[in-house]
Amino acid sequence: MKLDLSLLQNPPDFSTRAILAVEALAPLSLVSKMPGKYYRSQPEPSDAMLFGMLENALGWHIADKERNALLKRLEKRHKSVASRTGVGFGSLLQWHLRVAGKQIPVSMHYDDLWAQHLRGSSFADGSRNYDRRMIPLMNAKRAGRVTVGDTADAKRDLDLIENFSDGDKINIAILRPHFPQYYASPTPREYIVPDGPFRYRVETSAALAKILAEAVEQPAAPLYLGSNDGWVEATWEEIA
Amino acid sequence: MSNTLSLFEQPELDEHWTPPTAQPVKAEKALLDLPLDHPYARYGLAVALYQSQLSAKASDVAALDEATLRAALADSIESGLGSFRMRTLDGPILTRELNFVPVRLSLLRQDKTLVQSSGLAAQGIYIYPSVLTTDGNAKDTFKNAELVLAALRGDKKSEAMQDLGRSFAPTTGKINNGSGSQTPPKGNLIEAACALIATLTPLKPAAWPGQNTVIIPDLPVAELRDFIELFEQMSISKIAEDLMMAKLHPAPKTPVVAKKKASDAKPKSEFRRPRLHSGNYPFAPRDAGVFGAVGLLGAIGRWAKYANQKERGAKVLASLAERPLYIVSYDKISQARFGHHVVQLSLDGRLSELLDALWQDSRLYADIDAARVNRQSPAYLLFYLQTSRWLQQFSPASFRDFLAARAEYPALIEPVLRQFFLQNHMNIPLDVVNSAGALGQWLNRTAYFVADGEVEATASERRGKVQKVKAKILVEFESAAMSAKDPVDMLFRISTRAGRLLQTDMPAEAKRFMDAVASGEINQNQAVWLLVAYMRIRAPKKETGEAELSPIPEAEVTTEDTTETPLLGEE
Repeated sequence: MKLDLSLLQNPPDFSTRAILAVEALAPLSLVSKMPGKYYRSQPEPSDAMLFGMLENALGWHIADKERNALLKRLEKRHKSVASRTGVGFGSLLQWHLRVAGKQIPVSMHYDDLWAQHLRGSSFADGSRNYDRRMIPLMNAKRAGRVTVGDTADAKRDLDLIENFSDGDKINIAILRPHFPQYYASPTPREYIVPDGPFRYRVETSAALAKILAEAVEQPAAPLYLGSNDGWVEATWEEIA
Repeated sequence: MSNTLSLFEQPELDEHWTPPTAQPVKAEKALLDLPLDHPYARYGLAVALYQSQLSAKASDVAALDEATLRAALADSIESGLGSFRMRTLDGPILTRELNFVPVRLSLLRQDKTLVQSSGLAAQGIYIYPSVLTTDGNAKDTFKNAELVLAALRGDKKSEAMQDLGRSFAPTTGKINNGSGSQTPPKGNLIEAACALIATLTPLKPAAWPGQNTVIIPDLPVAELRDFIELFEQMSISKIAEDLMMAKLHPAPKTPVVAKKKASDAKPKSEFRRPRLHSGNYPFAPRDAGVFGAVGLLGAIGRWAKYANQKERGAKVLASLAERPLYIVSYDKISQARFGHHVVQLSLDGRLSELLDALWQDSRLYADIDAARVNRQSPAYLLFYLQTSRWLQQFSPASFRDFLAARAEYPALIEPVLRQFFLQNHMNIPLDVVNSAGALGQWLNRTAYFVADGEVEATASERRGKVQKVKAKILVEFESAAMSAKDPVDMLFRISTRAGRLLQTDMPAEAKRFMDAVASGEINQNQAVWLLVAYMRIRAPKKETGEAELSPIPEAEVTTEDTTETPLLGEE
C-alpha cells in the first residue's frame, strides 16, 4: 500500500490553526514512564501520543524498520533529532505539527487490573487456548500432580503428554508445539476518567491541516489514546 | 451619534482581522531531560533539590545546569544510604529500652554482611522503614545505589540509558517491549538516580506493617519540595525524639526456661523494632498500617498545631487534597485520595486524636464484654479500613460501609460526625443534627441504666455483663429503626420500644428531629443514619448523668426539663 508522505519533506510551516478536541469514550490509561509492575497514568496525553493518534487516523501504520528509516531521512532533511518515546516510537508528524495551547479537564483516577500480554519462554500458564490433547496434562499440572519446568532432570519423552503419571517432572520443550508462549497476566494499572474533552490549539501548514481534517472526520482505524481500549472521539475544527 | 460604544454595537470592519500565528506556549522544557512525568522519580528529584537547597520553581528547574544537578543527586543518594540500616548498641539483657542508631555508610561498605545476610533482624539490625526494599533485596538496592553513584560522579553521560530494576524503581517490571524476550524497561541516568533517591531517602512518610510501605504524594515539584521541607521539620522536632527507641516488656523476675520443642528451628529474638517502624513521623497512629494515609494527614495537622505552624500545615494539606497519594511497597502499589474536609479536621487536631481513640477505645459490639481485644483480627481491620475510607471521602456510600460494623464509637467522634451530617452530601440543618444527637445519646444512656438494673448486683465480671446487655438493647433499637417501612413507622417503633423498655418518655430535645422526620424534611435514610450513629457513641468516661461532649457553637438546644442533663451544650 502506498502512502503519500511527500508533504513531510516540505519545510515546516505553522500558518494554519485548528482546535483538536479529544473526548474519551472509555477510561484512558496514558502511561509513559516506568512501566512493568504498576502502570501509572498521566493526567494528559503527551505530544507523542496525540501525534500517534493522528497518524492512526491518517492510516500511517508503518512497521518499525521502515519507520526508523523514514525518521532518519526526515532528521537529515529537517536537521534536528527526532524525539522518541520510551519504547522507541517517533512520530513522523513531529516537525510539521505543534501544540500551541491546551485545555486539560479534571479527571478521576482509579486503579484497575489490566490483562497485560506477555511472551515467556519457560512459562506454561496464563492462556486458555491450547491444544485439546494437552487438557489432561494441564489439569494434572494445575492440581499439582506433575510439575513442568526446564531443569536438567525434567523428562523429555514425547509420550508423556498422554502417558504421564503422578509426580513426573516434565520438560517444557515437549509442551512447546501444543501450548502457546503468549500469556496474559493481570497487572494493576491506573485509569483516568476525564470530566470533559481535551482541547488543543494545533498549528500546522494548510495542506496538512486539510488532510488531517479529512482523516479525523473519517479515521482509517478506531482512535485511541494510551492503552488500545481507551477509545476516543476526535474533532478537528479549523479556526482562521 | 454618541461617543460611547455600547456592547452590542460592533464597528464594521472591511476585512476580518486574523490574529497572528502565536508562538507556542513553550512548556518549561528543561535543558536536561528531567523525569517530571512520573511521581516516583519526581519525588526523588524534589528531595535532591531540597537537600542541596536549589530552587524548585519551574523556571529555575528548567535552567538547571547539568553538573549542579548531578552533584545534588549524588549527594542525596549518599545521604539516603546513610539511613539504610539501623542497629542498637544496647543489649536486651542489660536494659529494657533499646536506642537505635543508623549504621554508617563506611561500615556498610566495609562489611557487606551488614547490608544483607540471614539473621540480621534477629540481631536487631533492621532496615529503615523508609527504604523501599525487602530483606531479600537489600543487597541489590545497595549495589545499584553504588553503581549509580559512581556513574553520576564519573563520566557517564546523563542521557545514557540503563535498565530500571525493581530494587530501586518498584513500579517497573520485566516486559516484552516489542521484543521476544522479557527485558526490564530503560531510563536515562538522571531518571534512575531520581528513582533511587526516592527509594532510599528517609524524608518520606513510611511504616512497616509487615513490609516497608511508604506514601508518595503526586504533586508538582515546587509543592512537593514544600511537603518534604515540612516532613523533615516534623521528623526532627523534639516530639519525635523517642521514635528511635524500642521499649521492651519488663523482664520476667525469674528467668523462664522455655521447653525447647523439637520443632523450634531458632530461638525467638529478644530485640524489637523501634517506634519508627510504626510510623516515622510524630503523632503517627499506633498502628500506621491499619489507617493508611489518614494517619499521615492527621499527624501533619496535629504537628502544625503543636509547633505553631498552622499556616504552613494548612498550605501543605490543601495542596495534598484531591491529589493521588500512592501507597507503595515492594509487592503492592495502590492509591488513595482525600477530600478538602480533611484539611480542617486535621488542623484542629481532631483527626489524629480520633484515630488514637478509635484504636484504643472503640469496640465492636461482639467483643464488648471481652477482657482484651485483638485489634489485628479481620473484623477490626475491616472496621478500621472502612473508617479510614469514610474519613478520606466523607461520602454517603463510605458512611454506609462505616455504619455496617456494629461498634461503640469513642466520644471524640462526635464533632466529626456532626461535620459530616452538615456538609454538602447530607446537608442536614444543625438543629436537626443536635436534636438527633440528643435522642441518640438519651437512648444510649437509658439503655445503660436498664442494663444496670437487669444484671444482678453481685454478678461476677459485672461490668462486662452490663455492657453486653446494653449492647443488646441498642441493637434492638437499631434493627427497629432499619426495618421500618417509612419514616413515621420508624418513629412509632422507636418510641413504643423506648416506652416499653425504659418506661419513660422521649426527651424534649428530640422533638425537632422527630418533626423533621415526620414532615419529610430529612429522608428516611438520613434519619436512620443520624439515629444509629449517635446511639453508638459512648458517653465519655463515667456512665453518669455528667457528660462532657464538646459544646456546639451557636447551639440551639435548650433544656427546660431539668431532670434531663444537657448533653450537647446549653445556650
